[in-house]
Amino acid sequence: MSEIPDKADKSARPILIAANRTCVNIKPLGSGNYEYGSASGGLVTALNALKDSTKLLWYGNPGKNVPSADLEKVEEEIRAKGAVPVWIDAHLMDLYYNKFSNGVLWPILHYHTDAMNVDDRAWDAYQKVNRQFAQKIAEDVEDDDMVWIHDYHLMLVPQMLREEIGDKKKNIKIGFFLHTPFPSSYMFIRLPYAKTILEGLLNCDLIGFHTYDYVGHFLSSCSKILHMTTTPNGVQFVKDGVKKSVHVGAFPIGIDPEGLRKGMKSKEVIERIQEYRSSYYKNKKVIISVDRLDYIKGLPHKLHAFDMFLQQYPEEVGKVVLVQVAVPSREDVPEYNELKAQLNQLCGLINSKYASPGYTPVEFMYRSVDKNTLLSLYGMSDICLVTSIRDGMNLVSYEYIACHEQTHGQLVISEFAGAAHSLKGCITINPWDASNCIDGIKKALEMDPEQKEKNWKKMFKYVSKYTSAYWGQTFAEELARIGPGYSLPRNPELEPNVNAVNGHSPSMLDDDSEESAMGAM
Amino acid sequence: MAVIVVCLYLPYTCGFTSATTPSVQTTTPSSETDDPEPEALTTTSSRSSNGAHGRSQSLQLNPTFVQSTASLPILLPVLIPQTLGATSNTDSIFRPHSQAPPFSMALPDRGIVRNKSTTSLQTLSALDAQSSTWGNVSHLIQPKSMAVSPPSRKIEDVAKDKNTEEQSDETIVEMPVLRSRKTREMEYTTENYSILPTTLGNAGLYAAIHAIASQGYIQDKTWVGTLGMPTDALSPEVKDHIEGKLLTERDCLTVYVNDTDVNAHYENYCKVILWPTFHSQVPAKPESKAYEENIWLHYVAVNQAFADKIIDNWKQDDMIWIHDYHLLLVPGFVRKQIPNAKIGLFLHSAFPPSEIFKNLPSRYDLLEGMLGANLIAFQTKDFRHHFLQTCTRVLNIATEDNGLLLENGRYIDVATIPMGIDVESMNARRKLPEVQDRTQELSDRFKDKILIVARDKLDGIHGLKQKLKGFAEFLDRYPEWESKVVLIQIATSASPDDKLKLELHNLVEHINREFGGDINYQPIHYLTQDIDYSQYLALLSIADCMLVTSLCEGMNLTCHEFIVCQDGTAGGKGYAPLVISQFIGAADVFGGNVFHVNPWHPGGIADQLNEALKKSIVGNNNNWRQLYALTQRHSALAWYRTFISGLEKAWKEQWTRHSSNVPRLQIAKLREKYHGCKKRLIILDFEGTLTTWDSPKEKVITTPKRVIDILSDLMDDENNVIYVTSQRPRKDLDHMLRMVSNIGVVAESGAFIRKYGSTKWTATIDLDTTEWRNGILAMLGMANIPGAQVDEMESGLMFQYEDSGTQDISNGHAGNLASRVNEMCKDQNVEAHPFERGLCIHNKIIKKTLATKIIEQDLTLDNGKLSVDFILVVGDSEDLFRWSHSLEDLIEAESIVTCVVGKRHTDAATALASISTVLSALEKMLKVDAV
Repeated sequence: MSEIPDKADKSARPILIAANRTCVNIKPLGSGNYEYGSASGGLVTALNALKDSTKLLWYGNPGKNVPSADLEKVEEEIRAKGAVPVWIDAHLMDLYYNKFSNGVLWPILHYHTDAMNVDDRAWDAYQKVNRQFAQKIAEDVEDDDMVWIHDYHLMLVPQMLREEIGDKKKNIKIGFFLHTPFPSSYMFIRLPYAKTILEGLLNCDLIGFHTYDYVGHFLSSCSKILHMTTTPNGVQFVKDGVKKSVHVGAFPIGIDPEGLRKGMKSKEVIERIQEYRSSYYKNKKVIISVDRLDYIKGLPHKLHAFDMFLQQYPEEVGKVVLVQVAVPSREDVPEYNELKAQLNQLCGLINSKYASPGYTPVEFMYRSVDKNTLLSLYGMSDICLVTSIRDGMNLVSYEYIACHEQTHGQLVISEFAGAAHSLKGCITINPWDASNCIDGIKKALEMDPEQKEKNWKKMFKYVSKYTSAYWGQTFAEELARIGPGYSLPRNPELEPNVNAVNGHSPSMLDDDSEESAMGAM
Repeated sequence: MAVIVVCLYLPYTCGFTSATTPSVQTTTPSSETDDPEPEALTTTSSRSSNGAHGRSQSLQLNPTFVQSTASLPILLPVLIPQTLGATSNTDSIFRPHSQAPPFSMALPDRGIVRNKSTTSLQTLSALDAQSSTWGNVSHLIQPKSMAVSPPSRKIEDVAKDKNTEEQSDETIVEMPVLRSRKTREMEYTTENYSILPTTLGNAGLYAAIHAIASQGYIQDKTWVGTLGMPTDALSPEVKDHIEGKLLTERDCLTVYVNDTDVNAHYENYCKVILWPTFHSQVPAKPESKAYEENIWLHYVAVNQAFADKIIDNWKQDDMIWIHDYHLLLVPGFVRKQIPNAKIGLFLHSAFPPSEIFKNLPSRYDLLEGMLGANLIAFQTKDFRHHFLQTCTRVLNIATEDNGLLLENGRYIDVATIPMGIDVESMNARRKLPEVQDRTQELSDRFKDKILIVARDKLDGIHGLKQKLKGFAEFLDRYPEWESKVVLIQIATSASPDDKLKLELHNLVEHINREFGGDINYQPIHYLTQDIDYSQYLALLSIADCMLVTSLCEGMNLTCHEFIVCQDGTAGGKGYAPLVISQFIGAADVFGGNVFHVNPWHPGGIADQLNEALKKSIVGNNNNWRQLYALTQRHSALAWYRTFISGLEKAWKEQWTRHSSNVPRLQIAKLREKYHGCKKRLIILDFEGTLTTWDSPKEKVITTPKRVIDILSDLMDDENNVIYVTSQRPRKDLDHMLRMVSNIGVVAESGAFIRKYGSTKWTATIDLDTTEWRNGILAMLGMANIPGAQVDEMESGLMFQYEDSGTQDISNGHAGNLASRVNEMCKDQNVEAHPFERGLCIHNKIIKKTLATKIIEQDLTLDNGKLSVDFILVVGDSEDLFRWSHSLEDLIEAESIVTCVVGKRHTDAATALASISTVLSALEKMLKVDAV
């Protein structure tokens, strides 16, 4: 077995992370040589902060086909970088990743049963790959280790890992975090494997979701599909004569606002923003949208609403521009290609209707953009518009807020995005309701600077408190603390104000009331 | 008592004959002879579709004709649909219903009024709301739609939805030459139309109401609906004529709505937005009409027209029974004009979870419209639960055991009343000789085969694609059934969704190629048109299994029909199993007696089919008996009676118990009683009765001096025992009532009591809250609600938020929270009770009566009597009103005075409007001199 860094030092045991993709990118240089870089992606960014305080050992698929002769060598080399490869055969990968994870689980988790194409063969592949992960992790796991498993690709790993470990090791704590929404039980039951997946997850000690809505849905699924007794803190049941507790809570993910603020101060970004604003977007108001091209993002809804907006407010034609960055995604799943064609058509329609020399109402970029471009686009725009019809959290909205320290750009966001539940000060809209979207855009465009600043401050306060570091640490700490008599913490914001039982000192949850209460006293 | 049955389409419509050949069809159908029709048909030979109808022997199987005119919908009805992919002409055994010769009981021979009794038709087509009416073939001559943009789809699409082949020449815009010629020729007069049974709408409802009426259970019924055809082209005179005729001959009130509204209402709103949403599907593809503005206004307009019609014709005691999702605003509109109307609403379709309902831009209006009813009923418990949950989460309305309590005090009963079919009329029909003939015919044809049957509407909700995939998987997994099992799928061509049609066509072809091959064996017989109804009954009788894979459906009455047909009377066959989707209402009704499948899971369908067919060979009489008993228990009549009596009861209770119908508290009388008795018990609610709810911002909570004065005055009389009851924690109350320190206090909704004259608190109940407290605190802590705060109490939590400009949103969020709390803590028996700008969260056991029981005990003398001879309870605690009325054995009923404050649904005997009226009433009561 390969070396684990500092194996002798108990306190330095890493947290074992499992996710579909590992944190290291492999670049073949030919003739058996490889170069390794850090993978990009939300989870890598989110866990980076945790990496500063804790060692992580990251299991995942490296995403490149490496000839079997080189497997051992590559594994050794990337282990040194904190990553463990779980090699998955290409055919299996297609079934597990495209057909099952993205063709069955993703749609059902986002209420999109239309796109759900169930095939037992894909389910078999999903089970196989999850088993591979479990086996790989079980090889390395030590007594008292913590394993943190991520997202819908690996929902069976908790159970399989327990099976693989058996009674060979003691006190292994398993946590799971779902980065997508969890749907209402009435929908989730449409997944033919709902029962198996729920039972699998209940092998965890701690299960985390972005919002309490998702927690509620998960608990009611346990209650309705597995007929279990649930409490607001989780699920308790007796298995093989042993009482088990699975804790379930909301751990809203965040971003690294400091990093973005620094990025915004870079010379290149500052200059580009100035350039944009003084030339091309001079005297224009810019709406920015950055989405992965996915049916959950409500992109047709957005374009339609923008079309209606220009129709309703002809005076804004020539003045307001929608910049839509659509990052290519899952091009192997048919629904995504259809959507792309539709969007191209819609953009064409709108542009042909309202464009004039020097004015393109919708600037549609179907590609990924580099960090500085992204920051410049965020920075130079007046509004960020998010119209997801379902979205676990939506961190674009957080990033946008973090980039607007000086300009206080406004956020217009769908009520169906997780972020709308936490960000106070945003303008929420229903993407299915075009006139509601139009009102939201108009309101944001016409807001007076004072209100803008007030709103932005509220949002920024939240974004800078609930960071990715906070998320990673809280989850890991809670997982570590779980033991007999453990109970999930109350919301930390509550604690300072709440007297124990029988107290009558009200705890302020909201900035507004805090301010006004201070004023009244 | 008259029942007004309100549904989108009347059971009748109009058909016109060409003006060039005025016919005698203005007479009632029952008095008609067959004579005029053949003549009319022959003289208008250019209208081949009409000519073909019903007697189309010469046209029916002319292949050249078929091909050359395939694009013309008018010609399709006469064709026997060749089973797709079929190579064997034995498939032509299935005949479209229109081809059927006239039977003794007329078949739905649409369009030509040859049946002696049009109403008898309706009993024959017992189908679901979700299915189209039997037949789907018609060729009525009806006016062309004059609908104008925004709804750009033509009215023929409306017709197509129910009936692809319905158009007459008059409505075919693809053929401008023909149309213009015809239009010129066509005149719609009072002379050339006749009343015909409709081919649109909710056949199950028509059949049910007809059967019930013919059995004498409804004395007086009136239908309210539209004609289901374009009417703008009709002159006012003709419209009036039709309306009058329908009213006198058919008990129908005709609602006229302009073509544009009708078209947009159904085509663009109901079908594209409401229908998928109510069935938990993502509503619209981006290219659809869902994004068009103002479509909603047409829905409103149609609903308003219905409401106006009802209001104009309403008589005291009428029962207004509104049907289905097309008319959800009608209850609200009618309620507004007639506050004491009896209004019931039955939803034939499914109802989605709140998470999906919330997508609808018009969510508030739709719910508020529905809430105009006294009774709202659903097909299943799930749908009912979804509705209650949605009301709580979207509107923050409190859910009670039997329904909803609105802010204005109105109470609405919400029930589960599954619909059914009329078993007797179906059995009668099955005994007819032609059904017997068809049964024989089909038994011969399929004698070596195992038959799976199904009849579904061809649309995305009915899961045909999923069924075919499942069937393919079945043949693949269990090759032993190959060449034995045949799936006969009737798809009533309803949807203009050509993509879906093509997809299904390809799937069928693929499966037949893959697993058929043999010239004598086609695994799937796919009929894209209804077969003859007698033949359908025959098919149900001899089938070995029924397969329904709808993704979601209110009920699906085909299952009921199948069960009735499987009574073993058909040539050695019977008692066959059903394999049905777990997401349809019928799965609820029939429970474990049928095989449940998840339509999304081909492997599951395959396995269940295999199990079912193995069982069908064995036959299971016992199981069938239970199923049959269930179809009888949940018959159309049972459904009707449960609903009507439920509505009557709901209305009566709601009306009599509403505080605006409860007499005002007579202060003079109260004074008299107060001063005329020896010892009194007075219980006053605190918040909302003596004081307002303070804003959560107020750190220092005070009690107004006026209230303290009244309480002190009451306490000055040593014959008084005074209690104040509150939701607040005892610490707050100690503080707020410190000026009247000896007063009796009930805190935390009954969890604690400080007895009158004492300063010591006692807990009325011992409850552990640790299991849920922290989890809920964490959840509340994350709530994004302006000005929110949580007070921890010993027995629970109090959550308050402030008035904000966006009350709707806060309310929605608070409702969402309440609903989440209830869901998360259901195993702990903990509930959130909404109050003005807040939620009180505690164990359900906690009630103010916990405390009053103790008070009662203290006041009970050794002889079992009470030491008081007067009780006054003022406030909004219904459990206290009920408790005090329960003491009537011990005290004269006259001396128990209960008084509710504000508008609400109440058990109290008297009412007062507001806090200030309560205070002044108490002040006046205390005065010895007459006021």
